[in-house]
Formats: sequence, C-alpha cells, structure tokens
Amino acid sequence: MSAKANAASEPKKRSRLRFTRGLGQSPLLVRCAAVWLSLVVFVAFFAQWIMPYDPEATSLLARLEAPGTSTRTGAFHLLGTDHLGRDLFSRLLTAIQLTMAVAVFGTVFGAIVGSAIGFIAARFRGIVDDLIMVLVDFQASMPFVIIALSVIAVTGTGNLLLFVLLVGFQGWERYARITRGMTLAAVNHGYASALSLLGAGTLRVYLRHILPNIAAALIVQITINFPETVLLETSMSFLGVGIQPPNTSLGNLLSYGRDYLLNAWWIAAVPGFAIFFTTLAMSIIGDWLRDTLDPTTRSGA
Amino acid sequence: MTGERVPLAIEGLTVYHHAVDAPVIENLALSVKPGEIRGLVGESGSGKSITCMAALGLLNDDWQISGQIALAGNRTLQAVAERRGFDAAMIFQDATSSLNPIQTIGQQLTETVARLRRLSRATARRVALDLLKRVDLPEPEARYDYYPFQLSGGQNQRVMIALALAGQPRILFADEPTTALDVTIQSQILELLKSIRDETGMGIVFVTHDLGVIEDICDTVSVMYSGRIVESGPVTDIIDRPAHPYTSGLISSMPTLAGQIPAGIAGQVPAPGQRPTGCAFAPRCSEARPDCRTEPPRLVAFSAGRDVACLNPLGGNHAAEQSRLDHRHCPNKSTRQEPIAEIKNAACDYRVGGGGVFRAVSNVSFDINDRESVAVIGESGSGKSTIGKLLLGLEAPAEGEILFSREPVPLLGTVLHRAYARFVQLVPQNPYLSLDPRATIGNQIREPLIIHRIGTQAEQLHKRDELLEAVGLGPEFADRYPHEISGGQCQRAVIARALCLQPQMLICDEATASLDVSVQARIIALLRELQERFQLSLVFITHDLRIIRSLCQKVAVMQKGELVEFGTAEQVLSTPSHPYTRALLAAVPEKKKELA
Repeated sequence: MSAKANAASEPKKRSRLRFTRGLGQSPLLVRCAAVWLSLVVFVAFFAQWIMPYDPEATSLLARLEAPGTSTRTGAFHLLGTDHLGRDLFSRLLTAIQLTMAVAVFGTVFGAIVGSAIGFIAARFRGIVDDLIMVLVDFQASMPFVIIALSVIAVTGTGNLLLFVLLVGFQGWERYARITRGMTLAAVNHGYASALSLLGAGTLRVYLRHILPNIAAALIVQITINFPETVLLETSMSFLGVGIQPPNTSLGNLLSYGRDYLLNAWWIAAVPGFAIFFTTLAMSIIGDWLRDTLDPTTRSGA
Repeated sequence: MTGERVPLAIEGLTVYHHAVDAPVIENLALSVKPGEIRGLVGESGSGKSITCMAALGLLNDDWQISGQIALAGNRTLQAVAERRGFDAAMIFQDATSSLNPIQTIGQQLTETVARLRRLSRATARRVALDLLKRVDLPEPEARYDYYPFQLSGGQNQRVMIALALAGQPRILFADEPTTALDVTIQSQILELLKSIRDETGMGIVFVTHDLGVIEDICDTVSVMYSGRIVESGPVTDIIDRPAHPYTSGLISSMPTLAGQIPAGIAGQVPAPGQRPTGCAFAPRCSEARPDCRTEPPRLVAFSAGRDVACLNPLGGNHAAEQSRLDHRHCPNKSTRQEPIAEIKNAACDYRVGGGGVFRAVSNVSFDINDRESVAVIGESGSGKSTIGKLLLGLEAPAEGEILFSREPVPLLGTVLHRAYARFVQLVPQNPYLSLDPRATIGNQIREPLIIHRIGTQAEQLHKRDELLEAVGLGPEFADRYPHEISGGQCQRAVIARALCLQPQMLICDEATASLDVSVQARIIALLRELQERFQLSLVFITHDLRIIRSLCQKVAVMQKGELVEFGTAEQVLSTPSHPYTRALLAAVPEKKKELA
C-alpha cells in the first residue's frame, strides 16, 4: 500500500544531467572509488608518458631496493626495485595498463557472449534451450582454469588476443543463466507480449525492452566477474601460461614478488594492493550504478 | 461498546511509517460488536489493509503504532501478537498463495488446531475434519489429503476460513476475501461467512472495495479515505443516504446491472505525507468550501448511529443518484450492421502436461459488428479469455475459423500478423505489467509508430501528445515512468498505446478488473468516448456483469468453453433464457431492487 502511495507521489523534475548530478550527491565511499578508478583508467591510457623509467631496464647494482631510495646513479625509486633492479613504479604502471586491458575487454566479451547465449536459450526454448543449459551445467561443474590450461596447451602461449578472449570467457555460464531466467520472467511479465502484439520484432523486444530491465543484474554480475577475471589472469600468469615477458601484468608482478616476500615485501605488496583496491572500487561503483540506473529505486521515498 | 468481550475496539490508532516519514493511519477508531459484520471500504491507498494488519500486530519494525487496540477485551498492544489465532484471525484475498504449497490442507489445519487448542494430533485431526465440514468443503475426508494446488480458489478460501476458525476467534479480519473469485463462488463464500457469524457470534471486519458486497453481507460500514474514517454507520442508511461526498462518489462509481453510467471520482488518493492540511478529500470534492481546505474535519455524530467527518455533509438527499449520468442504456450508434469480426464454429485446444490436450473453447460462433461493443462474460475457465486470444491471433483455432474483415486472423509470429496489429489491439488486465518499467510513457505510446515506420519524428511526437490528450493524461505525462503514475493513469497510457496504430477493434481483457471502482468508472466512460471518437468495435471480456449495460450492446455468455447465450445486452440481462445466465445474474452482489 505504501509502494502504491509512493508511486502516486508527484514526479520530480528530471534533468538530462542526472547521471553526473547523481555522482555529486553520492556517498563518500563511492566518490573515493570513482577517484581510484579514474586514476587507474588514466594510468591505463597514459602509462607510457608518466612512467619515470623504462620498466624493462635492469640494474644489477640496484636490486631489491626499498621504496623511496635513491641509487648512486641518482635514480629515485618511489616504490623500490625488483630482483633485477627494475623500477617497480614504472613496472606497476605498465602492469596496470595490461591487466586493465585484459580484464575490461575480457569481461565485456564474456558478458556479451554469455548474455547472447542466454537470450538465445530463452527465445528458442525446446531443444536449443536444453542443449545450452547442459553446457552451462557442464561449465559450472568444471574449474575454468583447467579448460583455460588445455586451450593454452593446444594453442601455445604468447597470443595476447586469444588470452584476452579466453580469460573473458570465464563466467559466461553465469551471464547465460541470469539472462535466460530473467528473460523468461520478463516475457511472462506482459510488456513483452504487449509489444509483440503491437508488431514489434524479437530483436526490438529483447534488446530495447528486456535488456534494460535485466541490466541491473548483469551489471552486478559484471562487477563480480571483473575481479575474478583479474585473478584468473593473475593465476594464469603465475603458472607461466598467461602474459609472457616482456609484457607485464599485475599477476606477473605478484608472482615474481612471491619469492622475495621475506626480504622485499613491496614487490608483492604493491601489485597486490593495486589489485585489491581496483576490484573493491569496481564493486562499489557497480553497486552504485545499479541503484542509479534503476528508475524504480531512483525516485523512491 | 464497553460490554464484556467486545471482539474489537480500536481507539486513537495512529500508524506511522518510518520510510514515508508520515502517519499512514491517523487517529482511527473502529469497534465491532459480537455478531456484527463491519465493512471497511475505500480506494486502494486509503489504509484499509494497514488497519487490519496493525490490529493483528502483523506490521514489522518499519511501522510505529500508537493508540489502543483491544481484541476480545485484551487491551495491550503487546498481547495482540500472542493472542493472534485465539482472539483474532485473518483471511486474505489470494487464498491459494496464503497456504503452504508443499503441505496437504489437512496437515496444515490439524497442525494449527493442535497448536491453538492444545489437542493431541488424533483429536486435532477430528476437529480439523469437522472444520472442513463446517466450511462446506465437498468430501472433506478425501480433500483432507489434497494439496492447495489441487483445489480451486474458492475451495482454498474455504480452507483458509477453516484455518481462521481453528482458534475459535472472536474477531475475523477478511481482507478482500472474495475479490479474486467468480461471482457465483463469491456469493457462496459470503453466505458461509454469514452463517458462521450467526453460529459463533464472532465479529467480522470485512475489507473490500466493492460496495455491492458490503451491501450484501455487512451490518455496518466504515468508509476510509487517506488513513481516516470519513463516515460510518448502518449499511442501508449509508448506501441510501450517504452524508460524506466521498461515500457518495464511491456509490455513484458502482456500475449497476440496470446500466446507469457510473460517474467515478476524479483525481487520486493523496500519498501519506502529501495530504493536504484541511480535509484530505477536499481537492477531489465537488462540494468543497474554502474552510474545507484549512481545517481537517473531525468524525462527529451525524444522525442516530452514524458518524461523518465532513464540514458540509450532504443533507441525506439522493446525491448519489443525482450524480449519475442520465442515459440508462448504451445507445446503439452502429448504422452499418456488417460484421467486422466473425467467429465461426471455433474451437481451441491447449496442450497440457503429458501430451494431452485441453479444449478451452468448443463450437463457438458469433459476430462482432462494426462499431459495436460485445461483452464476453463467464467465470474463470469458461474460455472467455481464449476468445480474446483467438481474435488477437495469439492462438490458432483447432476447428472452425476466425475472420476479421472476411480474412482469416493471422497467427502471432507470422509476417501477416505484423500488419494485423494495425487493425486489432489489446487492452490487458494489468496495466502496470503491460508497460515496460524502464521506458517512459511517451516513448512507449510512440513505439508502435516507430515499429511500423509511420511518420517522421515530429509527426510521431505530435501523435503521441494527441493520444495522451485523448485519454485524458496530457503531454506532461510523456516523460514519466509507469511506477510514477497511478493504476488508472497507467491503464489510460495502455489505451493510448493501443490506439496509436488507429485500430478498428479493441479487445479489453478484464481491462478494469484491477482498478478501484472510482477509477473503473472513469475508464469505462473513457472507453465509451473513445469508441465514438475513433469508431471502434470493442470486445469487452469481463466477469463483472454490472459493467456490461453501460458499455456494451451485445453480450456473449460463456460456460465451460461453450457459448450458452448470445444476444443484445437488454435481452440477456432482463430476460435471460439460459439457466446459467440466470445463475450468474442472481449471484451479482447488488440490491435486488435495482434488478427490477
């Protein structure tokens, strides 16, 4: 009854700028997350120009230097150096660049493929649906690392594009499941059938009407999958079948640092914190996005 | 009111909702004597259900309750929850979903009886069987082991009543218990409640939006508006001579078999927190005076046994009758008696589990003439909605044919159906569900034009505003989302969308069933107006016989998939020839004098 009463309330004046205005009014945590993410995005785009040193330049005289030390040659290492004397700050920036690229493209790819598969299952039902759901169950019962490893075993390492697609494919079954379930619910909801009665085609009903209605769940799934993609990339790189030198990802950095945890903790800690804060910020932003993009929560009491 | 064991006495009840940050119920008093059935009536959003839930202690921590609630003489708020089931019980609108789907009704009833009466399981089982007999469930011994899904809605409502009786309560809250039921089942349930009242002497609070039902079952009635009681007293007195303009408006909104066109009430119930300073009804009231807007009226004695909260009560005249429009029947404007749609010996099958088929409609034939309104009536399962689906091309006839303009109706999903969408459109039962929650009203009204690539953008926007105007919404509604507007406004938007392609026929499938009577009356008036303006044929599928006469010229009566009677509204409603039609008419909860 109170929901009805809310619905009857006077509509607020709507502004074209509600997205930006929403960010301005958002809680402090969301703004911190947004600042961190924009920093990461900035680094991802401009790493080449802001890194102080060549991330691949080794210096055996300045190995395992602590953060903030200056070497005899006059080089200043903000975050210290690694076991080959490479500047950790510069390496962190390139690693962020590559990890972000892999995670963003991979996650988006997985989301699109998974949702499309879910839509197909919901649209055709019957045998197509059964087949897809069997694949989904198969995928869900199999650790993705094993599948990824066997694909790499066949194709070999070093193909970056293939690696991105492979990492992104992880979690497709969850998108498919969510999309299928929510689409079936939406089709029964009435507006979908009302639109088909008006002569709307399948693509219009699915992409223009059902997709916005289930987008909230997909966005949340993306924010859950994004860190997992980062972690998958990390573990693959750790096993030596992911990003190959001279390229560097946060996962590579982390795995190098593992050997020096006792005497040079910063090598592992710096990429570790970068991963931690980025994935956390992504989750916070995802939560906030879901609430903002939903007109039913936006104008609540 | 101070007698011993008064079933229900509520005084000064105020219910405050934390999220809304405003009182939802304000200073409400309500009492029920032993053996009294008190109706609680009002539009949705007026606080009827909240009042019942507050009285039963069913509201959670989002709500703050103050005031006095006494159930069977126990005068503390804390005791309410503990005494639930003993002193008070409640039955709901949707009985089937109120029962546990994975337990048999016998288990549920026995468990409740054993708990409330502290009996052994064997004795409780006997009592449970007695209760099932008491509520006239056919073959109670066999039905004892049935699951709720194996019973019909009416039978489940009987089980709910048996459950409510398990603790031998002194007061029963019935929240729209018959709204979801067919008229014949509804009248049986109402009879059952009356006979239980006579036998046990318990009090009943009967919540409904249907004044016809109130008239049928209640002794006294309290009219609620915006969280307050605006009028209360004996039923016949109030229905015949309403003192509050709101009551009068509700009464004049009721469609009647006699076919007076209901007037309805403009506007909507204000949300809690947005109530005006004076009388909450003043903005919608035709009798409002300047002082109505400054001073909230108190509930004061009006005449013997009657209270009214109005500064300017109607002087007991027949205001309700006067405000009805004068036409008694819907004039048959149709000049061309050519059929636009023909249903010829149609049958329709549904596939059911296990490869079988269920014949929903068999051997139905009737014509729908150009610019004519045909009502298709019947109870649930009669196949009336299937007729609509056949006409829309949602189902293919298994036998016979469905013609529109002498052409067979194409099936949904075929290329021809896309073009057919421009001739026949649907107005469904639930307007909220048939609108995309994430798209604005304006875009959804315009969408059919985009789909069929009609006109330029400017022309489409012009058409959109024109349609919004035609359904009484106005262009300012274009930017709103469905959840921001009321149910009646949503239904108007759906009608506008259906009219966008300038169809020749509208199928209204229970189009007003989910709306308040005050809103329903206005939608009916709108449909009548639009029918003339756009020269539409209407197929009005409904279970409510009372709205037929004011809207339709012809009536098709369906029973168990067959057409049992077809004729003009006048003929079918005044001199029904089929016994089923007569049974339907007799079950309509309405004063019998209006039938004459």
